[in-house]
Amino acid sequence: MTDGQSSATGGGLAPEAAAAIDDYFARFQVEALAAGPDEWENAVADLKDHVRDRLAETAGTSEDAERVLSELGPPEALAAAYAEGLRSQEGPPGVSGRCLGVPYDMRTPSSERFASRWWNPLDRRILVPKALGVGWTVNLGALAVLTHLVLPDDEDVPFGAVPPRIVAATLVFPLVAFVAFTALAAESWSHLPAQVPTHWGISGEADGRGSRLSTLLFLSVMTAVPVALPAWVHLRRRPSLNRTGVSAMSLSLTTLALAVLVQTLFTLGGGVGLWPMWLGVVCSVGSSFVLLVCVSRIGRAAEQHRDLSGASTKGCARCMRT
Amino acid sequence: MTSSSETLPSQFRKGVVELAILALLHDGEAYGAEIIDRLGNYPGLAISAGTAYPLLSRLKKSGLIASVWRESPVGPPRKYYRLSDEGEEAFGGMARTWNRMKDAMDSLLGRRVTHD
Repeated sequence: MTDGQSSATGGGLAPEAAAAIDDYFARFQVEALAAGPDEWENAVADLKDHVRDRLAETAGTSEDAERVLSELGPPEALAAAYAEGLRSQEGPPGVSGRCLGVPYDMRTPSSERFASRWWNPLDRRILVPKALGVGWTVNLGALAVLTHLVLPDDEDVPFGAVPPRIVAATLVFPLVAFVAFTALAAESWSHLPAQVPTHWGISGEADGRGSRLSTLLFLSVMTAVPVALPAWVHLRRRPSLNRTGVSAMSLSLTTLALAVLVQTLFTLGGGVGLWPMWLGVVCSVGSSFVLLVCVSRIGRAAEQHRDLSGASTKGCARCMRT
Repeated sequence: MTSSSETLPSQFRKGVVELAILALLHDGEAYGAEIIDRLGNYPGLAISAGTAYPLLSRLKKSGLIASVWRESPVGPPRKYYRLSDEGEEAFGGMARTWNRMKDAMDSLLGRRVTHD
């Protein structure tokens, strides 16, 4: 403790003042260890620095030390506050990182993380770590930049300038896909046999079958949940990026469920091949891509309208000078 | 110089490029592609669009630069960047620090540069 003592109490402090500080931090450490934070060494170092800074402005007597320490409150209360602070910094439960080069993220999902992985034109990587699960997902923003559909700096904040009614309207697209799925399922229900294909081989031959009820129930959940989640995000008035992002993701998933249903009906009708499924996969990614690009362009147009309509004369004069 | 800049830590290079962008905008406003082109004229400072736009976004978030759409004499409107008042002030301080560091490094590395 001699080293710590000299470092904490250097700078011409009275011996009583130094003793008071060391006594204070000895009590703090006991409490901090009992409360369990692993980073208490940092906390002690930071706090000692703070005390030393405050005392540098004074004569460094024991009264000064008592006064500065009393500002921090009792060491027991301070240790409890630190323990609480360290716990709250740990973030949401779960883990994320890389294993053998493959990214994984098991943290509680958030609409913000999903949306910013799907649409981040500033990030040039087409494949980015998944917002939830193991592996990568497509950054449609990078794809839009690569295909020259948008510029990375088209929008200050992604979808930030998009009128709220347009952001709300993005929910219509997954809803339409959901309605189309429900209508098709209801219409075909009576024609379906008790057992329907549920799995296909690479050649397009059905190699797995399941009951009509469980299959349709599974597909219904697969469409209903992705529609319910963005509705929740929209109702919670999350930022435009989150809301548009989850709308696009929902559209993608409902389109996929619709494709599985069409594939089932296609196989039952005697069709051979997997093309309805592949078409569905292309439509699934394509539809959300088109939706996000369109909304981004609306955002860009809104920014341009804001900047160019108001001060167009002043702006143009400056622009010509440049 | 190119080879040495390639082996410098990326954070160091990023900081230098950031200062270079501020210096460029100190001379007058410019749009994204123009900034990339003009930095490309200096071999040690050339950056890709993938580096430039995130840097511009970060400078904008920190309030050092501002952006505005302007009509272009050719083609669609462009987003122009300029230094904010805060950016002008920060640039002055950073340029002074840079000059001090440059002098110190020149003498440390033993090849004092006489021209500006």
